[in-house]
Amino acid sequence: MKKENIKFMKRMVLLIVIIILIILILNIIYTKYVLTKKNFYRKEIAYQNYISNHSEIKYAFFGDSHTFHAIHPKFISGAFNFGSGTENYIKTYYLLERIINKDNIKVGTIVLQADLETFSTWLTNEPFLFNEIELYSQFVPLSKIKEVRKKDSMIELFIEAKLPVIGKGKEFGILFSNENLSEMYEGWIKNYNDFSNLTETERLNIAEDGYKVHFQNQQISNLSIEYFIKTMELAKKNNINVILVKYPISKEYQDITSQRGIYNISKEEYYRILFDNTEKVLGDNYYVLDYQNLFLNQPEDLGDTYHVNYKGAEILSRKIYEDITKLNLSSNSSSQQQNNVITIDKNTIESDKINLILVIFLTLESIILLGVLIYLMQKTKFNKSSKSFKTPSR
Amino acid sequence: MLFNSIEFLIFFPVVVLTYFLLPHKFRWFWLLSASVYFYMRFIPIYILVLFFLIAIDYTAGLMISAAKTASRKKLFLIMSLCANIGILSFFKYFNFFNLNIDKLATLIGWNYPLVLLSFALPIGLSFHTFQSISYVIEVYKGNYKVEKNGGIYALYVMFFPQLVAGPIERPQNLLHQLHEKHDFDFQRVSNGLKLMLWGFFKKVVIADRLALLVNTIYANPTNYTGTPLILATVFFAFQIYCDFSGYSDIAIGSARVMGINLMYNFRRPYFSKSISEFWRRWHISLSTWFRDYFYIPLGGSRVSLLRVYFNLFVTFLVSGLWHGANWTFAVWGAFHGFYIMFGKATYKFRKKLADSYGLSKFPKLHTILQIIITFILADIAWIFFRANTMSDAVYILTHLLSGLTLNLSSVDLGLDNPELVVAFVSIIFMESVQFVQERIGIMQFLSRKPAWLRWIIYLLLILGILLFGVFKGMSFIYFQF
Repeated sequence: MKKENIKFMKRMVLLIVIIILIILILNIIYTKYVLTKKNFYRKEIAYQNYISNHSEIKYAFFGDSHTFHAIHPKFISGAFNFGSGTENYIKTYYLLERIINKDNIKVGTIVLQADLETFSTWLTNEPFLFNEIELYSQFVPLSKIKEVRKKDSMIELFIEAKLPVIGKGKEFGILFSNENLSEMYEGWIKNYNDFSNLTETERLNIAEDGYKVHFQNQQISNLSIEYFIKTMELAKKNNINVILVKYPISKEYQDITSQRGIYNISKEEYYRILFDNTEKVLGDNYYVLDYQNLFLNQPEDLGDTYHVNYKGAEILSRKIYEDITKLNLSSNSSSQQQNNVITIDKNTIESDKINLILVIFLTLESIILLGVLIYLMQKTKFNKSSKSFKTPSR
Repeated sequence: MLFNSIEFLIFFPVVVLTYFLLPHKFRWFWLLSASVYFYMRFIPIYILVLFFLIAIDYTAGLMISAAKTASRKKLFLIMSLCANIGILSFFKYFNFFNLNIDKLATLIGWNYPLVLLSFALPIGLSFHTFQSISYVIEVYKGNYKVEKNGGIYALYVMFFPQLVAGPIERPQNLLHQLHEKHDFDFQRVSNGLKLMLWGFFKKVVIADRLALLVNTIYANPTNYTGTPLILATVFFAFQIYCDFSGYSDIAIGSARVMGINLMYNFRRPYFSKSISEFWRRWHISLSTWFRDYFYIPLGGSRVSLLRVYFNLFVTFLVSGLWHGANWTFAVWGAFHGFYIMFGKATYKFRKKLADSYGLSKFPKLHTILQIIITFILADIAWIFFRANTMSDAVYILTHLLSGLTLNLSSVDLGLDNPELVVAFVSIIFMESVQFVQERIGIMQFLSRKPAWLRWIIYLLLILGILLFGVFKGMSFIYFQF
């Protein structure tokens, strides 16, 4: 093979190595400094902190952004809010399985969201199907994720899970942003919006948009129902109480959904389907708490048409706690304390140190490689020019 | 298999390395096998349609070549054309034709027994059908000797870089290259890889990002007025350009790596000063195909002026329908046909007008104005190309200027602010590169720079693709045609 061809191939290999190194470094920076500012990851950190101090979660709240903003564990003793934006029951199932089986945390009661939109195919469509794979892949095997995200190959899933920086360059802007992160408490995120500040037309438009997003061209997701059933079966197997909650909505949204129905059926039919499936697994051993109409005439307690704001969260959380304590829930959790708090903290610090060393090491290595590349190129250029200089004199 | 997939990133190096390692006599077979695999990664069963077309046109070529009389040659040509156009019509236009008959029947009160077929269009059917037709016509005209090696002919139709979306090649350019031996040449491989890289940038960083906004707004255009509609329409112009020219760059680049030169399909069309120039720069392989095999046989421009206008209009109308079985495509073609006719008819008047306003004294300003006007005209036509229905297109066209505002914070655009910034910056970057390419040629520009700077530029481009690309496996727009 010609010398030039070999040289070219060597350069290509070097270029690929440098690219891989830079991507790995950026990936570490992204995971450490960008991802940790995202709500779902902050929640994970909050959960890790929580379980380092507790071996039991009395009330585990699951759901999407409705739960996320509505349940303030400060007012519900022993509660943790696992709700996360656009969470569907597939994620809920794997999250619960992880808490029980991997982290060995005792859960007394799971409080599951049963809102009108909870089972919409919108939540199980492509963009939201294990979209936080970088987190979920830490406790869900990629083969299981592949079962749900059938279109993606294992390599694609692996890259998305292990190299989350790919395609996320724009998110580095967060490092230079002065915007303060929303207040978080045991998984709850403070919603500052006030629906009452909007005009009647604006409120109607928001309700209309919400309706369109969740119900226009959408159906009840079979996948969500399947994992909803699996979640309840898991709860039953582990002797965990199940409560279903309907979160507050605005009057405008209530009117639209009542008048037009949802998923081409009435709201009553929708809940009949939901409760029939619940009864198949749990029989009568579950509770339903309905707060859908709680803030119909109190838009000041809502952030928008179906999310409560921080004022509403306090009122609702107090109310839920009051109602839950009235229920005759069997207690299956022990109050055994763990004494490994310091050990876990130490481990976290150790792994942080290792990451930092790795970042420094990889940065230095890529700088050296880049230097070598430049040196080689200049040398090649020099040799070339010296050759061309010498030739005529001969 | 999509170019913008992990699978292709594995497939391509394996194919190229094996290609160069194999002795020359086995290479065509290796490329053909790779092409078959490439195509079967879409809908495997449709490979049979492709094989059927190849068999027909290969046989037609042999028959035409062996025929003793002109009438027999013509007969075989007609048979081949009927088979090609028949297959294309069956898959692409059967439902369209039937639905329109049904609508007409409803108007006259006839109970038409509507039959609709429900299967997907074989990917790239319009492209390889046209490429096959060009072979048969060239053999018929005697411009190209018949290809006796069936395998090489199959590779001519199926060569994977250009199989599903062109460039629509001519036998004169491609067939002989498939016979020739191509050694590994670092300069050529390097050029090919750079072109592929640029194509990937245009596709995953620009086109697929713009698609998020365009798809959101064009899915429900009646939810929007004014600025979002303008934004989506302008973005679509760049999206379709970056999508299709990105595909072409990857196709041409990957073929070049293997030593095969495919024809250029785009020459910076949005720098055109008129619509006729636009068509000399946009989808060149298709426009020259229509020119050679449709417009010229119709009489071209060597007929009466009225007939020239008719020929032009019909050519663009048919070219519109080639893109898709929908009246929106026909209207898009008709718009361009009308633009060209109008441009021809008013050429002298417009020249006088420019002189009277003194624009001729400021040629740069005149050129800029012409480029802007051409872009606007092309973009108006794109509305019909992109809209899902005629009523959507009409709504968009009539609401572009109503409710103009710069405050889009409460409008769902499908892209958040950082994404919009990336979109704008990447368009500006691409247009700057195109500007340099238009003036002095980007390769010449780069060759004047020191090697380390060039490598850093390539490195940044790759990192830009990896960090700012949209990796959702979005298909290429022209695959549907």
